[in-house]
Amino acid sequence: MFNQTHNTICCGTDSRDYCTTTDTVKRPQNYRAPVDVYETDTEFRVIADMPGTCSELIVISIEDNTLTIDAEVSDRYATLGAVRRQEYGVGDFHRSFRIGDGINADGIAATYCDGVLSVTLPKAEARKPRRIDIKTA
Amino acid sequence: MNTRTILAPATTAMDSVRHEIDHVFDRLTTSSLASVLPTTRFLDAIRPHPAVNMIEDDNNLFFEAELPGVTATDLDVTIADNMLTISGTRTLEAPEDSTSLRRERSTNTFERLVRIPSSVDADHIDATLADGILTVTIPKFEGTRTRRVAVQEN
Repeated sequence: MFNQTHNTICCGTDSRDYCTTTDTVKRPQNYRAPVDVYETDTEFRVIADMPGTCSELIVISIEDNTLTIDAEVSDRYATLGAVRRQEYGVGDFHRSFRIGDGINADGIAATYCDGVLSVTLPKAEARKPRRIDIKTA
Repeated sequence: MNTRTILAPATTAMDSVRHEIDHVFDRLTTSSLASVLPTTRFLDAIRPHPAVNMIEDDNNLFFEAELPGVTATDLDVTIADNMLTISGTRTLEAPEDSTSLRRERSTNTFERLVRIPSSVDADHIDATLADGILTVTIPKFEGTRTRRVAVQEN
């Protein structure tokens, strides 16, 4: 089970480092959104804090076994007024993960609610734990 | 690329001391003597503080905080003695029967106190929560609004 997990959504050698990011800096105001990753028997779930965007501006793509999440955040201060005190920056969110062959890429689904993006990555059939029925002779 | 620390935890003792000092100083500047008395916050000050940005236009002050995953029912916005308090809890919902593989998002109660200038009208405060962003709008008093003066050319 452990190895299976390991092959499916991670590439780290440390067991704590499941989802090694392959982020590259696009522009300085890009932010790396904090994520939680969960695994069940049938799927992986990636949950990311990405406040201030909307479902139309979030792009989730898979290429070369890399799952990439890009969320554009519009510059809301441009119309609101002058920033007098700034404790956090506003910019696009970006995050990427390497995933293995054990994901059914066609079945990936995502929802965005209250600033939280939730991406469901179903495991490929062959990777799901199966229960073998024992027949009586 | 920076990781956005959305609810930075106050994990050290110094943070709770700083929080308490902030609070006492903020209270000292108010006129009521009772409010200067020590508060009980010192002991439960190990709370994350959401970051707050302040934006100003001609007629309003806006205080904005990123609170992804927080619903309006779990959020409290109060104003007293020119102190704006944003507090609440957020619960992280894990899928049923799941194992956590990575955990970067923080959960907990949070609280943030922000001093607001006396030039605003706290009676007409308005707060909206959309896409994980809380915006508190406080109108300026009539006399403190920015007025544009037309410059005549001679």
